[in-house]
Amino acid sequence: MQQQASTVRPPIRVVLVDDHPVWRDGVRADLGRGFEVVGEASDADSAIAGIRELAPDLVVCDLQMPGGGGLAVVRACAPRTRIVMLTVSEQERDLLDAVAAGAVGYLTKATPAGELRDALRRAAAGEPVFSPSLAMLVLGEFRRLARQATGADPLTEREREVLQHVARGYAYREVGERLHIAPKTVENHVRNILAKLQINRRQELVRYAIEHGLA
Amino acid sequence: MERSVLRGLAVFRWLAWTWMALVLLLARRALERPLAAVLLVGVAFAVTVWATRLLRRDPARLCSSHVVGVEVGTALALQVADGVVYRAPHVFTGEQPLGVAWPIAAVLSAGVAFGPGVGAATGVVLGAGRAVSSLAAAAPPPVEVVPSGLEPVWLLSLVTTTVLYALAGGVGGHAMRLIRAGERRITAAERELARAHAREHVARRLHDGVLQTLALVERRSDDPVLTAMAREQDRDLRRLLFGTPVDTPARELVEELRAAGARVEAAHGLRVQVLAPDDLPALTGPVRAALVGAVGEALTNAGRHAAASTVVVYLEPHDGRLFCSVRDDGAGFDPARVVPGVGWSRSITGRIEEVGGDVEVDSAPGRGTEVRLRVPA
Repeated sequence: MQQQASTVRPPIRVVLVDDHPVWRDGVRADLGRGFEVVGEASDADSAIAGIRELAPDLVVCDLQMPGGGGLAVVRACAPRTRIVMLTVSEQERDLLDAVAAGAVGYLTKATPAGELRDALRRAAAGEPVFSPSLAMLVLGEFRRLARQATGADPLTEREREVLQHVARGYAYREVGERLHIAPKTVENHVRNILAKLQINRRQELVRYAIEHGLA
Repeated sequence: MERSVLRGLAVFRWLAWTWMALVLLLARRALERPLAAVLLVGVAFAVTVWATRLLRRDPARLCSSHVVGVEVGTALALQVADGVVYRAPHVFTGEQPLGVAWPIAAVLSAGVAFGPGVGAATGVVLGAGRAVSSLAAAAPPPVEVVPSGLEPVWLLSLVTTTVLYALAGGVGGHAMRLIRAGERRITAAERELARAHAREHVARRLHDGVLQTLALVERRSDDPVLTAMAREQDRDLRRLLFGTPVDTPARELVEELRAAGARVEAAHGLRVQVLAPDDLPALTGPVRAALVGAVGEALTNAGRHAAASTVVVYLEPHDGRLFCSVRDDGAGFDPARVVPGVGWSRSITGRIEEVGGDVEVDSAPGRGTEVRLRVPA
């Protein structure tokens, strides 16, 4: 099946960004056929330069790196380039910033090889890769926003349902079946949620700047 | 900050003394007892010099009862003697009193050293000293100088001085108290910040090194024992680095669920993810025990019967209750063919219903299983 896919379609061109060479080796080995690692970088600056030059289909980027890290790469290259964040810790708020800045998703480094390949293939096709823990983090963020803001809840009932199902461990296909909507619709909901997250993060930044006399 | 206040006070003391010396110089012809006046100004000079020296060598002593006592004593002497050194009764004739400014420094000192109460009291004492001195000098008041109609004005002047002194002492003391409290808070915050920095530094190092290596071992090892060990170490280290130091009941629940997950992981070789938000409601002891027990059962089922590889335990506050979902990607089953009340359903449903919660099970062959629990919070 996988071989078939790789013979039919050209391999997905990937740039790996991680400050640990051992890690890059590991991920490269895990990717196997179907992917072609066209470039590697160990810091944000060289990653940004490399991505601009190579124009890969997908960037797999560590969130925590010395000197700015993954967030800088996302800010510079997303959403033109599809970037999946690979992180060790799931509870980082940086993650929300990275996702809000336009990363298509994120995966923990403990993700098994098969799952990783599958998720990266979906990400390369433009599908937002939402893990349960990211959905959880986003839900918490919106709940916080709803508590703070006097206005209406930023999420629609449907969007919240979609997020909750993803957080409970359902794949998009399964979420669609359970909510009686098409998987594409689920994907659109996720995209809308991400857009709202971006808007809210940006608004919050602006508010922060005004409150602290930076604007 | 406290140092700057004391320095400001020293400057004020010198200005007040200079003013006093100037008054002495200009009013020398009006003096009844010039020698006493010069002596007093000299004593005030000595105290001013002494206080300035202390500021350089041992500023803490400026707030000791000894030093403040000497200062207040000198101020009181100046107040009481004021009436004596002038050709009485100077208050009514509008002469510039000798020691009206310098004592303010003493009042402020008392306030700064011992708080607004003592500051205000010192102000009252010094103001009263002035009143006594004026009264002594004025008695018996020469009729042509003090028509009886002027008396209220004269009294008012004395009262005003007293009130102003008391206000200066009170406000000075209060301001100092605020400054000290602010300073304490700043020091505490700085210390906390330094601690957080140190922690973050360690976390970052371990994060970049050890956690990465553990994750690599977890993913790349074919040895299940090694994988399990790496996962366990990973979890422990993570808790140490990112775990909330504050022990809230909700956090304890999450920790207990994680521990249950770790046991099932070790026993059945699957991955358990416990996802909980920060704003979980607190549960009572029995409800918590029931929930942890039920989730443990559901996890064991996923590992033992469903041959699942991943389980997500998801928690969420919901309408004043706690919602918990345990979802596996295992074999699933047909709920219609499972006789209610038998086996797992009793161990889960029984526990939850006993504490006033309810249970829903969602499963289909080949589609995994989700157990949904709602318990009162």
